[in-house]
Amino acid sequence: MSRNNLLLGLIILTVFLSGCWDYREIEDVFLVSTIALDKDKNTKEYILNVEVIDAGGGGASIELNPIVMEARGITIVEAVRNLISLTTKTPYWSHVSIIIISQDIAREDITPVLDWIARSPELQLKLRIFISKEETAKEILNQDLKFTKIRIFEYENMRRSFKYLSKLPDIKVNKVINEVQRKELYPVLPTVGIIDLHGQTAAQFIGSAYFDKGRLIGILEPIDTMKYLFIVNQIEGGVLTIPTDEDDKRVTLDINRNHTRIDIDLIDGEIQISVDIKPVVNISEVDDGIDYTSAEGRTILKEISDRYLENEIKIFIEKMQKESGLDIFAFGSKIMKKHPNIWKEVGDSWSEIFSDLDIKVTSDIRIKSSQHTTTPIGVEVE
Amino acid sequence: MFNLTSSLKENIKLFKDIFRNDNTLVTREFQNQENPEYRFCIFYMDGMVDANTITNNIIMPIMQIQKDIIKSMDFFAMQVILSSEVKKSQEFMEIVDSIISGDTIILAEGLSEALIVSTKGYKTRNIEEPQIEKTIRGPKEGFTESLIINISMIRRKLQTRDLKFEYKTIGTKSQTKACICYLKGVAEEEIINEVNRRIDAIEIDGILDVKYIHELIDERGQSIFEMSGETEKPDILASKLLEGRIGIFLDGTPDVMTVPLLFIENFQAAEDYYTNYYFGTIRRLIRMLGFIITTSFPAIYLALVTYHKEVLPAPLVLSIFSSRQGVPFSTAVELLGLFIAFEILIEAGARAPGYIGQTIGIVGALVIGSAAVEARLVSSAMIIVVGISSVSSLMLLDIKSQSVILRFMFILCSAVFGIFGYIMALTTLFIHLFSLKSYGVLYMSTINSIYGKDLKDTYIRGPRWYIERIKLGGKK
Repeated sequence: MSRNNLLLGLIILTVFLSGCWDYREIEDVFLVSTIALDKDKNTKEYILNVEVIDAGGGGASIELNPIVMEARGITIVEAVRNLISLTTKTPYWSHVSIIIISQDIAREDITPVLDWIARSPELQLKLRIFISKEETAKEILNQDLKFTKIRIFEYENMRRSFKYLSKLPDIKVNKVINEVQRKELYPVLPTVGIIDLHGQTAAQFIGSAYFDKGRLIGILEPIDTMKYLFIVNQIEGGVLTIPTDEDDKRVTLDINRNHTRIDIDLIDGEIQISVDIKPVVNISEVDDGIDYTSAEGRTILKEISDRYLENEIKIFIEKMQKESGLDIFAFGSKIMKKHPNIWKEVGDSWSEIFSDLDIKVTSDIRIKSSQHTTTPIGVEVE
Repeated sequence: MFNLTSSLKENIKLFKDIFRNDNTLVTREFQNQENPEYRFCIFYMDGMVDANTITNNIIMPIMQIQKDIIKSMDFFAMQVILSSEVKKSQEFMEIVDSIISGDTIILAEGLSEALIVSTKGYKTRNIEEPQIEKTIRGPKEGFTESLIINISMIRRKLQTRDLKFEYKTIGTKSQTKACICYLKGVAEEEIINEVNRRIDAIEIDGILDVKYIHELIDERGQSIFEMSGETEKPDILASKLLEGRIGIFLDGTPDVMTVPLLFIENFQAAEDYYTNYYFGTIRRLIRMLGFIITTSFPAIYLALVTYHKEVLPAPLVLSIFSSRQGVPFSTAVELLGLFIAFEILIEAGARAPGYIGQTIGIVGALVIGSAAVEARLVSSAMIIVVGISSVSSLMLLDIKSQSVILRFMFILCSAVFGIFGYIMALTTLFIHLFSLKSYGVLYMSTINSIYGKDLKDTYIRGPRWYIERIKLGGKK
């Protein structure tokens, strides 16, 4: 064989053995936008609800129609396949950005779901899992959208602004998979519920649920979720309402950014964990009419806010220690990384040790600005 | 074979025999007024000469010689003929060639020699602004079809003894004059010798455009890229000569060939140097972006839409999805079909006379633009892809044909193997480009440099005080 033939053969092998083979026209697939997973209590079947997007129009006009479809199967993939029997085109899963899972499945085990996502060539590991706080997950999918027609647009846009709310965690599925597989980590997933809105209902994304391995253990209220985010250093925005007097008048602080530092020390063989919170805030609403922009006022406000925040977070940690004993804050992981030797000793019984730990919380708020006005409205101007 | 004799009659017969059936040969016999026994005859080609020169500077002085006539051609050459260029010759073939090229031949009774007097004069086009390499700022003059005018334009720009012009004659039938032009001491001797050697080796009957020389002397390879450039502006040629390149003029062509050619020259425009260097840099980068867009954009689009939809954001997928509803063709066919339609429009626009040209624009815009979309023969997204890619190719006229070929190759690879095929094609292209040599100089030289100082005039156009002229081969 001549050298050229050999070269040609090599090129052909390279190209044909590793090329892409799934040539599919874009109009031959249905784009799946959102998935809701339920489980039938009687038959133990998975109930898969998906919103697929069909297009009308064509030519110069654009017309998109969402269609919700349901399929059942004893496993998730079987349900997914059964979906084909209902559609004219193959569903295309790459653009799924949100999977909603019912509490039933979550309390039982979410690892089959995670396994399916991880194995699927189309589903992407950047999608988010939400836990339905309602009876089923498909209820959420049946809610009317208020702003756009397509769920994928609406939910993606909402999700992007969640960081200004800071009342639900933003966690990609690859991180969930990782946390489920590790002993010292406990995933905390965002939740979604339904609220009344002027006689209609709407899906509301708020709060979170914490897991032990693949099983849902408890639900965190929105306000607790925020405290959780403070501890795990995921606060990017949101507001703090600080009560300043007995009448429950409050000062609202708009969180600009935050940095939380967790220090782990060994004092006399005992693990000392201290959580150090450093939010940078703007004063965005003052209800009690006190001028907090003066040097003196700022000191007072800082003092009140720090004490309030420390106290609240401390109470929340203690509640978690007492209720479940699960280290959802990943202190264990920090110890493992910083003091692997100690972790060898305490790792196996970390839950018990964690429940008894006295965790120190300190806060150091920096008040950056008072936004557009200095003096509160309602104070007499001289 | 043929020899001039001392008999005028026989000599005249000889020439008439040579130019039998060629009615453009003018024969004029005359005598001296004082001494009618002195008979003369002149030959010239009608249309190739300046008739005034012949009448006033040849016929009149000879007819009116008052003093004694010495029977020698030297006498006429030295004392009678009023012309800047007179040559005595006995070589018959040389004399014939001179007649053809527009000189006038004088024969005299009793002399077996001829005088060749330069009387060339024919209509040439005026110096005009070139049609292709238009500039907004900078010199506007462009080369014409006249070799000597072209040479004079360069001579005026580079007034130095080092500027050399070497004449060559190419074409057994056409006898076309070519001229190799370079700056001694700047251009590398090796390249000059190489060009000389290659031009001397040309064997062809007729040569009508400088493109003939391109193909005859460029590196023999199957590359779609050309190893020599062309310009129709003296200022561009002057700047290339200053950078050590060699220009090749050809009589009858308003394009001058420059060698060696580097890849980066396809992206350089004279105007880069006549405008502010920030702006020059931006425009050069846009040209490079244009090259990438025109070759790769359709292929990448095809690969993403048919193989790798997951890469595209959902809103984009949905809008393409929606616009493809009801389109009967696959994306690849749609893409190729539209490009062929676009190339047809360009070709028709280039060939059609001006007054039809407008119709082509309207038909093209209406039929291919909106009607095809409304009839759902093509998707509106595809119109945008093809449109932007095609318009980008018009920005780079020097490598437009190469862009079109590359684009089709990339599309085919993408259609069969997805983005992987595109990457393979791209890799092949790069291997090919870096293996090319133009007259001994690496085609991709300076672009591949990792040193900032070598890149002063490549991707960016550095300020004049910062870039020394980059000489080929690195010699200063």
